[in-house]
This record gives sequence, structure tokens and C-alpha cells, in this order.
Amino acid sequence: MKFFNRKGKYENCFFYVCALISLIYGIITVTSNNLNGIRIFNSNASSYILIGVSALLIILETIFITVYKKQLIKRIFYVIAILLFCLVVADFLILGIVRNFITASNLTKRPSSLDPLGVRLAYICIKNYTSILKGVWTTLWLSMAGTVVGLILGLLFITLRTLEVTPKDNEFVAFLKKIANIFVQTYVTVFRGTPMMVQAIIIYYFLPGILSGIFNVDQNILNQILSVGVAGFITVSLNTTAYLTEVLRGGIEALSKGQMEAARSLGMTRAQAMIHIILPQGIKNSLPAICNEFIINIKDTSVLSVISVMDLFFVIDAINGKNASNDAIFIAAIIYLCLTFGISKLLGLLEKKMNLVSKPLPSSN
Amino acid sequence: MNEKIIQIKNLYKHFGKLEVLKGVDLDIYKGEVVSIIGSSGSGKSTLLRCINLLEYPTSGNIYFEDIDIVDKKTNTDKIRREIGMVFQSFNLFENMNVLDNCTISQIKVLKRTKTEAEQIAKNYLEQVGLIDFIYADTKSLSGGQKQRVAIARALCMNPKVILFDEPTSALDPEMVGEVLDIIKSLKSLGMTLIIVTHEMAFAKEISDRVIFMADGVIAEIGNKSELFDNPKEQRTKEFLRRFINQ
Repeated sequence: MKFFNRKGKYENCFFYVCALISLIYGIITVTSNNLNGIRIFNSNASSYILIGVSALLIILETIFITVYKKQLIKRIFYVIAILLFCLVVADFLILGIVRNFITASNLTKRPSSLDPLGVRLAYICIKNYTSILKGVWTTLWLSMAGTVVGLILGLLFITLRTLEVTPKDNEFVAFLKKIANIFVQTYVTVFRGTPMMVQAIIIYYFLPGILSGIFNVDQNILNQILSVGVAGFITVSLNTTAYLTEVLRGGIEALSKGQMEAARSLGMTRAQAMIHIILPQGIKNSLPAICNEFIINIKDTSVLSVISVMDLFFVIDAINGKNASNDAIFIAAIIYLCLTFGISKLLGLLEKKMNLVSKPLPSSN
Repeated sequence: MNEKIIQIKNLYKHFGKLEVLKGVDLDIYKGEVVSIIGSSGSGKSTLLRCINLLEYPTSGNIYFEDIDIVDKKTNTDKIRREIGMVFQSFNLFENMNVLDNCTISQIKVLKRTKTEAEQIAKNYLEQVGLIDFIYADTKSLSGGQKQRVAIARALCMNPKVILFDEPTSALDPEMVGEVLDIIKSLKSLGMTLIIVTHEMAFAKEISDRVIFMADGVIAEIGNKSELFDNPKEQRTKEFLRRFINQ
């Protein structure tokens, strides 16, 4: 009985919105001429029922609001209105997508620009789904692997960056520490200060030459190893390392100095303190930013297409070129949005799970 | 006469242009309880933090059991195993529960086994009255409880000396008592304690000797009754007068 007696916050407004939209949709389906394909409301009995029921609901609800005020009955009307609205949405959106795909699959030749956009997109999906799926896979593994490697290297770099010269270090150790500091700072400046596109081109075209010059390895072998996929992976990894180093630095500097002091006062070496006390807390502080970096990478891998890495954008761009139109870009937009949104939600769950670490007993404050 | 466990000779500490310690000489004897009192800025905490080298002296020597810890060749980490510290802001490790706070250093630094470390930890946590909280998250503890865990954590390393840097200054008045009681009980264990504190009554009750610091030097040092009841120096008299008037 509770379900029927409580009133939702905007229930009346939602009711009218749902009922009116159902009514209007019913009228549209009855009056329009070119209804085709699978539909629930097909200008026959179902459409008229839709019009009749929604009109009736509106009238009855208005009476009940002004005169009767009986919550139970209004709640029933609300539920029916929601149901009708769901059917309308299913008919318009879901079956709309299905209709586009059915029409597209029945076409013998490419749809022209006169055909509706939905059919054109459906046709592109049907004809190119293998390469699109491969592109999605490349985008995903590049961003995931790049973020993981970036995190590992970032942890290495942050330990180098935070090396402090202690009064007991001799001159050489102090000098090495300074060099490590400056190296990381330079690295971060360079890789955050140049676009990933530029980095990709330099790495793909010039890294074999540079490495073969330094290490005296045959350049041809290096060229063979450094395919576009490998070059793309290296680019994302090095780029992400720079950003995550700064993220981790922020996470670590947010900790109070007392944590390190307490660890050292117990006799822990700096390395032990970093591994057991500082880095665990620093990483936990940085988690939201790390997840954010992963999501950014999903979109940013699109710039690797400039060296012909076959990520999602490259595939879509190739389709657009082949079709001499720009329609397929909508497919890219929808897929990227689904990827970023989905992974963002998943990582949110992961973060919540990792925040429940030890059992909190009630405080005696 | 007990042997000297810590000898501080001619200690100077500058922070940039600011001279905080201007020539401190001090001997600490094994097993004694020493309180350091004085106004803010007199250098009390800096002196304490120099003893375990959290601050590195600008010049001077500190001998711990006849080893010069300021010397570059001495391994600081090894010395710090013998000198425990309890901080004003507790500084418990927030990524671990209470028991792990006490065992982590035993396992990693002293190389004890996990069972051995937990046994010792539980023993000391029971002594400070927190045996029911061993799996609690540090964030759920009150200030007094946190400080008691900090004391247990320091005790677990079986140090020869424990340094207390204003242990009750960050606590509500109701919790000050429970922490002071724990510190009093440590005296009966025969440990050397060096306590920087503003709690005059506590310093008077528990200390063997009291040091009054002012302007970066030790202004007066004596037995608790000497210093509190019959201060010799003018600065000491003024400081104590201000406190009694409060």
C-alpha cells in the first residue's frame, strides 16, 4: 500500500509530460502518410487506442487533481502513463533504429544523400562492422595498455623526482639525485608541452634512426620492430607517463609531512617508507585523476591515426574517404561516447570498492 | 650515577637566516625522565627533533651511546630504531589499521615474524588500553586513542629512548589525562623519556630533571623541585610566573 500512497516529487508534471507526448505521437502516427517498417503504432487500431487512452488519462487526472484528490487512483494513472510513454519511446527510438537497419540491409546499392541519415549510418555499420569493431578494439587496448604502462613508469619517475639530498649524502650521490630530479622535470615538460600527434610522428619516423645511432643496432631491424601499433603504444605510454607523474606528485604532496616523519622515526629507510606508507596513500589520492587519464586516453588515441594506427577514428575516417561523405563521423561520436561513459561508470564502481579498506569501528568521540 | 645515553655538545641549528638553536649542551642519563619547557620559539621542539635527526644540526655533535650521530658515516636509520618518537599530531599511518600501524615497522625494520610482531603489538596495545581496537581504522579513533596507539607503536620497537613532542597539545582536555597516565606508566619500565610539554603539573610530577629553554639556549636546568620551586634565572622566574598567573 505504501507504493500507492507516496507521491513522487515531480509526479504530476511527469504524468502530464508522458501523457501528452503519447497523445501527440499517436496523432502523428495517425496523420502521417509514410509509415513503414516494424512499428507498434502503425496508423491502425493501436494508434487510435494510444490516442484514446492518453486523452482519457489526461482528462481523468485533471478531474482527480481538482476534485477527488485520491492518491491511489492517481498513482495508477501515473503508472499507465509511464507505460504508454515507454511504448512510444520503444516505437520511436528502438524500433526506429531497427527499421533503419532493416531498410539498409535490403538495399542493393549505397544509399545516396537523399536517403535519411539513419539508413545511411545503418548501411555503413552493416558493410563495415568488422573493421569498426577492430578499430574499437585497437582504441581500447591502446588506451588501457598505455595507461597501465604510464602508471608504472609514472611511479618510477615520481620516486626519482622526490629524491631529496640529505645532509649525509656525499657529493656524488647528491649530484646523481639532482640529475634524476632534473631529468624527470625535463621529461614531464617536454611530453606535456608537445601534442601527442607531434610525438607520434617523431617516434614513428625518427626513433629507429636515433636508437640505431646511439646503440649501433641495424636501423632496418628497428624499422621492422617499430610498426605503427608499437609506435602508437610507445607514444601513448610516454605521454601518459608525463601526466601521471604530475598526478602522482600531487597525490603524494597532499599527504602530511608527518607520515614520512613517523615512518623514518621508526627506523624505516626512505624506500621502505615510500613503498609501505607514502605511495599507497598517494596512489589512493590520485585514483580519480588516474581514471580520468584513462578516459582521456580513449579519446586521445584518435590522434594516432596520423601515423596510420588503425584505431576507431582511423577506420571511420577511411570509411568517410571511401564514401566521399562525412556521415560515418556520427558512428564515431556515438561509440566514443559509449566507451567513455561506460568505462567512467565502471571505474566509479571500482573507486567506491577500493575506498572501503578496513573496518571502521564506532568512534568513541 | 647512571651512564650517559645522549650527549649533546655545542648544538647549533639555523633554518635559513633564522637561528633557532644557539649553542646547546646537554647530557641525558639512562633511565631518567627529562621535561623540556619554555615559550614558543625557544627551540624546544627543534632540539628534540635533532636528537633523532629529523632536523640535521648546522653544527655541533650529538652522541647516542657514544656514537656521533651527526657524523656522515653513521647510519641514521639504525640509530632511529633505538629512539622512538611520539608526535603532537599523532602521525598514525592512515592506510593501515591500528595493529598494522604497530607491526609494520617491527616486520620491515626489525625483521620480526608477523606472529611475533603481532604478539608484541597486542601486548603494548593492551597496556595502553586499546586491545579492543586492534582492527579499527585509524580515522575512527578519538585524539586520545590515536596518541595512545602512537605510544604503543613507538614501544613496539623496544627503543632505548622515547622522545615526546608536545604529546598532549593537540588533545581535548578530557583526553589529556589518559595519555599522561600512559606516559607515567612508562617511567616504571625504566625507559629514558624526553618530553617537550606545556603541561607544567605533569612535568613537575613525572620528571627527574626539568630543562627550561629560552632564545635557543638552555636557560636553566635542574631537579624538578629546584626549577619549579626555586628557579635561579630571571627568565625562568618570569616564565613560571606567567604560567602560574594563567
